[in-house]
Amino acid sequence: MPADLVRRAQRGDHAAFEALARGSSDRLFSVARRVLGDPGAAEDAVQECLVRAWRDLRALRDPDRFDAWLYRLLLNACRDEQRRTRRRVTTVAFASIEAGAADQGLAAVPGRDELERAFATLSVDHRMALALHHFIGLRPGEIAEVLGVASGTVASRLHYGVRALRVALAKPASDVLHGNPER
Amino acid sequence: MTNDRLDHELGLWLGGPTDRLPETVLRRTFHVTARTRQRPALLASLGGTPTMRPSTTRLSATRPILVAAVLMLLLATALLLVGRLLEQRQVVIAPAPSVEVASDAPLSPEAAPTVRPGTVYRVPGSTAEFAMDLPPDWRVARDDETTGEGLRINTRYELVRFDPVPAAWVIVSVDRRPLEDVRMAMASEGWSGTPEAIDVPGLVGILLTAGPNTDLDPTALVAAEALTYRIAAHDSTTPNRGSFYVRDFLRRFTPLGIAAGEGAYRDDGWGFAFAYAASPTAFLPGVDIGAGTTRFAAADCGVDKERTCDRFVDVVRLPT
Repeated sequence: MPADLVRRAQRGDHAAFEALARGSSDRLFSVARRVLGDPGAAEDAVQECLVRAWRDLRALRDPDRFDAWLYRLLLNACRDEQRRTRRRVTTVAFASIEAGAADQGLAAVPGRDELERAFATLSVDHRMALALHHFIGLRPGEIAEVLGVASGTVASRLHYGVRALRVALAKPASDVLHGNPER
Repeated sequence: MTNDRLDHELGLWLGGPTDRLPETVLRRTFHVTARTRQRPALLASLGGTPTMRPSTTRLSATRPILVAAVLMLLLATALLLVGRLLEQRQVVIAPAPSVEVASDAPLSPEAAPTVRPGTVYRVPGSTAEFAMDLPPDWRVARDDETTGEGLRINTRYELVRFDPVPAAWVIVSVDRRPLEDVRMAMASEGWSGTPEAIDVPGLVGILLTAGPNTDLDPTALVAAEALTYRIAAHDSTTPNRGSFYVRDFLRRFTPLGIAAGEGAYRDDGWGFAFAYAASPTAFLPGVDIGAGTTRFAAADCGVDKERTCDRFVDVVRLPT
């Protein structure tokens, strides 16, 4: 992400910020969809993330870390969105794989339904760590920078997340459906 | 499922194709950011926004101390100011006057009770509680007609009217296409045809409503923003994306804040009751210029659905 765009946006240049936002929006949305499971909630989270980014852009000390900073704002927005919807949603239904995804064979992954339900039982922080790792392709050290936690914490979250998935997958589906979405 | 298999499938599943954020969301976002001021760096970081310093990603250890110091300073300043004000006896806290009405007050406009300034009613969360907490003069005669699908189409509430009316509330629905409705209303009065031209002496606020299926678009927000520079109240239905945007919008742009939150508009017509409760000194059962649920609300209050635009003008022309 060009640092000069960030600097211009920090000086109040809306066009620069729009360019930054457009360049990041699809990735943010993809991560939010995976973390929240609901496209509508993901849209809201991304909007909130971008609005906060604009409002607080001057707090970013290092323009080169704009992406990492944005992901952390997205995490906060996802947490808020999860809190907002928790009372209404007992389980997070992961977004259906669209036609484009089906073309790439993802719909054929065995046990995807179980995986979705099990994934929804993890906390937002765990889901975010897994999404950044598997979707964005960040290494634990990079995720640590994004989330503002120690590398060991990220490794622990990834390890725990996968382990929790294994446990959840071993349970009957009804237990997962009625379980607490936050752990 | 083996561990390796799980890792593999998780990677496949999470690592799918990039989703595309709808353009409408981006445009809505930019509409908001274009009207949002950037916060100074210190204020933003104090508000919890990560700073991402070049040397470290961890939060500074001095930040909590800084926050505490600033809070202490603010508290001391506030106490000092309050103390001085009290010392000079410039603070007068008067009890809110009550509504003087007969319990059997008729519903006709001629016999309408007078509501004094400063009266405040609590607005409980649910419609049922709200109905029970209505002042004794508040009579709601309800007569439902329903369609075969169970939708109320002719719920009628007879509402009391207040006289004198010191100011007017305009109820603007941001549901669907308010901008055009506003323009029509204003054009009929010879105004410029843009919402910005509304400048009515005594107009103290606008009640925004959002229906359960609201999906705001930037056009609606443009109209709302132009109209709501003095918003003091907001109602919405159950939490939904539309009401979220309205709330968010108001939180950012409304100097007076939001008088009350969601939950008071669950039933048709309650938006008006809500407006009354939020500011009875400045309320007139008014006009809904939207569609959907709020259109029924307009009918509930006796506003002819076919003439909502005219009535809009009537409201904003009220004498102060």
